Amino acid sequence: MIRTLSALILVALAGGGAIWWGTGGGLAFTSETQRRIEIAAHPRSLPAVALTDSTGARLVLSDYQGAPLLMEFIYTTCPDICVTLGSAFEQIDKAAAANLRLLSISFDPRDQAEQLGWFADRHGAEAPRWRVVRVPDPANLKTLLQQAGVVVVPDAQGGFVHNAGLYLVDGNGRLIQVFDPDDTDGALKALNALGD
Amino acid sequence: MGIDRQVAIAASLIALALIPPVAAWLESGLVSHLFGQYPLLLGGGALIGSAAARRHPCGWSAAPALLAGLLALAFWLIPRWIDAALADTAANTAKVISLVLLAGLPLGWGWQQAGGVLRGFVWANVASMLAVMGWLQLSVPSRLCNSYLQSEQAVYGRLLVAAALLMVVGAGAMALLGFRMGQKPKDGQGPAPPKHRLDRQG
Repeated sequence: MIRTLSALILVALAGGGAIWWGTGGGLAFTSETQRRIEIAAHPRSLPAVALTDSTGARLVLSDYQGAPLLMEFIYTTCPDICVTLGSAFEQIDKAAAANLRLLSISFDPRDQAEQLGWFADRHGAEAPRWRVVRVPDPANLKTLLQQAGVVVVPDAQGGFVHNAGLYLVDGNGRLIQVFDPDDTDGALKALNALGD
Repeated sequence: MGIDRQVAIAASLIALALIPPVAAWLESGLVSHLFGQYPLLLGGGALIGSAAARRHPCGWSAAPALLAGLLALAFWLIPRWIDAALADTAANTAKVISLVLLAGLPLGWGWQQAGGVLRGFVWANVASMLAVMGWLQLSVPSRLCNSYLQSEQAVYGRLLVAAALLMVVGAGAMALLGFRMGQKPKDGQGPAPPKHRLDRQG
């Protein structure tokens, strides 16, 4: 009886402790929450990958250093969440300070300048404030997605499912915070705090 | 079933779950991952555990073993760790080892030696845990696992609820038909010997 009870207590402590540790103290049951907590606690430097925008112009992600940047990851034939992302950027475009830059990055290799142009027109994106770009080199794209923690899963309809968000990058080119696609208020607040 | 045969079946279940093409296929979907690969690994571990308990009985350890097995299983049902196992080979290895040795094995070891009261308690708790988890999967509007589709999450949630219902209905039917949880299914000669039974030991 005593043996059984002490063993039960030990097991409960060890198992409960493992689950406590595995959920970051009961805060992060999903990898998405965990990713956001990690990024906020330890901002990540982003790789200086080469990009091509909807006009065919070439640039490098590190060109954006010096001012705050808000990124989103999209594909142009996306029926639902990328439209939400696009509208979120439209709102932020209107409300944010003049030095903010916006970047919609496509992860779909099928998206060429023409398709990026459609997306830009649909949402009123105009360079240099807001560019719609692709990452021509697949290896670069993979590194960038990995560093930002974006997981892209092909769906049955030829599209993709991805963990969507608004990615805030500071003037030093570090990813410092991720917001829900509809959390434009949170993103704007954080942007204003960066500008101060 | 002979002990050697039981261990051989266990080894083949675990091996089946780990053959690279089979493992890749099972892990490609949420449902096949959790309702295919998990049961194979758990079942393999449980058969080894119950074989070990038949050879070296140790009645007092049944309850702690069952608790350990359930907690280890609960850990690997956390969406974050399901994702981690898919993204990272080390995490996947940890998953396989824990599901076999820390979840399946103690569950088989404990169940083999548990008395009727303890078995009923565990059964009822697992059924309610599955029902709550299924309801959670169905009620959360967003995806819980970054690696899987929302449509699969809905199927997974429904299957969890169905499994819970099946467990409740199954236990009810067995009670109505006069079976007892503590009874070994095969010998049909009443409960396991008292020295192996936790509820008798108190």
